[in-house]
Amino acid sequence: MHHQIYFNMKKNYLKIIAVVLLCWTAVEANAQMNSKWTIGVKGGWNWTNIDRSNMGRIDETYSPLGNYDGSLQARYQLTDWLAVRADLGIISRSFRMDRNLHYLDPVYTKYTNDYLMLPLMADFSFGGKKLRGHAFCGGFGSYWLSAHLEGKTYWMTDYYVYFDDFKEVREFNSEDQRFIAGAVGGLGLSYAFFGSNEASPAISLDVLYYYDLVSHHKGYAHLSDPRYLNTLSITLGISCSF
Amino acid sequence: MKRNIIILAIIALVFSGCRKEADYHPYIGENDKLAYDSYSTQFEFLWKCVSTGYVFWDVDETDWDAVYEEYMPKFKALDAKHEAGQDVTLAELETLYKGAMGGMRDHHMNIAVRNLFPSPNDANPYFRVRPGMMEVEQRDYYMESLGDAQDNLIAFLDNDIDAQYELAAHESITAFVEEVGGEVTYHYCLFTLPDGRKIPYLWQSMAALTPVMHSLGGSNAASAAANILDHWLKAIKETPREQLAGIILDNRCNTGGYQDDLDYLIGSFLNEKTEIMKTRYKEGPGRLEHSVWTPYYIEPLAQYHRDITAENIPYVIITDIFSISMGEIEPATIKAVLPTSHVIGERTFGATGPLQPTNFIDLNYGGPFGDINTMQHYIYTSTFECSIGGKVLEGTGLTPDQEVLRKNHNGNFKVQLDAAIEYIQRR
Repeated sequence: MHHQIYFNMKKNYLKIIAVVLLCWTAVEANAQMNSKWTIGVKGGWNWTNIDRSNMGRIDETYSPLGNYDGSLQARYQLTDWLAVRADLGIISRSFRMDRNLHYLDPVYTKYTNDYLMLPLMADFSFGGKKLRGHAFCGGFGSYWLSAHLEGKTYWMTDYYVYFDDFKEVREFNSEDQRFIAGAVGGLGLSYAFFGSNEASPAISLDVLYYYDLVSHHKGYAHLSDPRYLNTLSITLGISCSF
Repeated sequence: MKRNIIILAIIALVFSGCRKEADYHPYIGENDKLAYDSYSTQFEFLWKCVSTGYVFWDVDETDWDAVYEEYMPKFKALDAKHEAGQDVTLAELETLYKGAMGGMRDHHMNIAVRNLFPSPNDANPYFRVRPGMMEVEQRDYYMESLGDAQDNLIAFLDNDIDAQYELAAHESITAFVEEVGGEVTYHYCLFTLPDGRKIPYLWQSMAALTPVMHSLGGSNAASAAANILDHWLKAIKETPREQLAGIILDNRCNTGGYQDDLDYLIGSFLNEKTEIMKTRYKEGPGRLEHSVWTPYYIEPLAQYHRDITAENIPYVIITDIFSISMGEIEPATIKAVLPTSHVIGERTFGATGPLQPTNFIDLNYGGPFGDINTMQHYIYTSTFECSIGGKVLEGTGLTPDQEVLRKNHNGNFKVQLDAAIEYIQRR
């Protein structure tokens, strides 16, 4: 019990330090403001896996799947090394469940979940005037728009097992938590054709990692059963600053 | 740059501990790890197993979290009583389990629990709670099972001088069927109407056509039973249309059995592969996590094929409150698929979820689990959820097209048969 209290206090202190550092950074940024706006679009591919317990269902194994994502982005430059960036996009976060039991091993389900994502990030940049590196960190809010299922299921009689392919829309139910939030961080590269201090078109490569902090399953009062998605997204974007 | 890295590192550290952990729940098939040592931990274990493996949470209105909140303190009170050196009786336990689980929708459900610390006052080593039977006994048309009355059907009909039909032929058998592991009773009758037309009639004590028919052509008791079924099916197939008034399948007191019987009872009358129902099973531990609804198809069965739809031959199924499991899935699927079908009798029991034995627990980590002989618990519960004609009949049963209640006729079981024959005559 004492260890638990100590651990919780330690986590709270770390949160306070992080908030103070961010505030200090913003204040400093305002003092050196050399701001400009950038807007753009980006698209690419992501890989998602799910963190969840199978609660003793030992042959239900989950693995990552890839899918598309795309978004609009807006960036507000605070200093030459710090900007605030918001993306608004749709990310399809997919994963797969396979049965491994020998006579049910054809059974699988691909879960595809479309999310409206709104990450809000600090964009720390470094490098030259045209080619710059970026480090992102922040949080995201997200809404689960739709869910699709595809795979192979089974039905059985007294003597036989049959398999059946399916592809269908999954209806949401009362246990689904459709508003979720999480942390996002990553790295990027951008190339501004006329230099970063000028109004300039640019291309960029982002590698972002979305880490859910809210379970998309509501769980139960006396049985904790959270499910979190982790998504690695790689996108190419074009933007224009002004 | 260095400052940026420090900030990012701190933020990553903060977020890494923000996720909740899942509670531990053991693999249900690994019996030696399913230990508990008190009344409350036993209840908690069973509560979790039902929470993660019960297939009817989408239609069951039981508030399972509220059950935990209400009953966990009561089981802890039993622990305290035991620790104080006082007896906890099986009756006390039974009362709690009846309260906690007696309202479950699964009408197959049968909860058997041993007293972990048996009391000298216990008359039995364990008790059983059957939520389905508890509900059925409250229905206003409930009557005791027909029991021997149905077994004496032929003698009853032979002595029925008021009947508007004659018993042209009959065969009966009660046979031990090894594949079933028990006795099966069949009555095959060929009724003749005043106009000379015939009605092949079959009563089956359980749905075991498939294993019995595996013995067709043999020389044991099961083969003799198979011959009776063969005669009924051949009478349907071979009787000329002008001489065939209709078919009757009597499923009263049919306590269930084999799904493959539908090959005979529906497949014999189909021209093409047909979806008769959908099933789904638990996939994932969430209460509302299921597989997709999967179609269950029946292929035409050439052996006894007759297109009763094209020939407009009435197919009447008689049901009662003790038509259970396959005993009610059969009339429900026949009604859903064959347009000339007609169900007469009473609303059925309402245990429509197919089951697999406990050694199939790995199929879905749902369905029957435990063993009351070697362990302290056994929960008999459905492995699959079943939807027929777009409806889940679990807990409610099949409502007949024409209700004829024994209770309204002093318990006379023949009124339902009379109604079936009258319906065929009217068609």
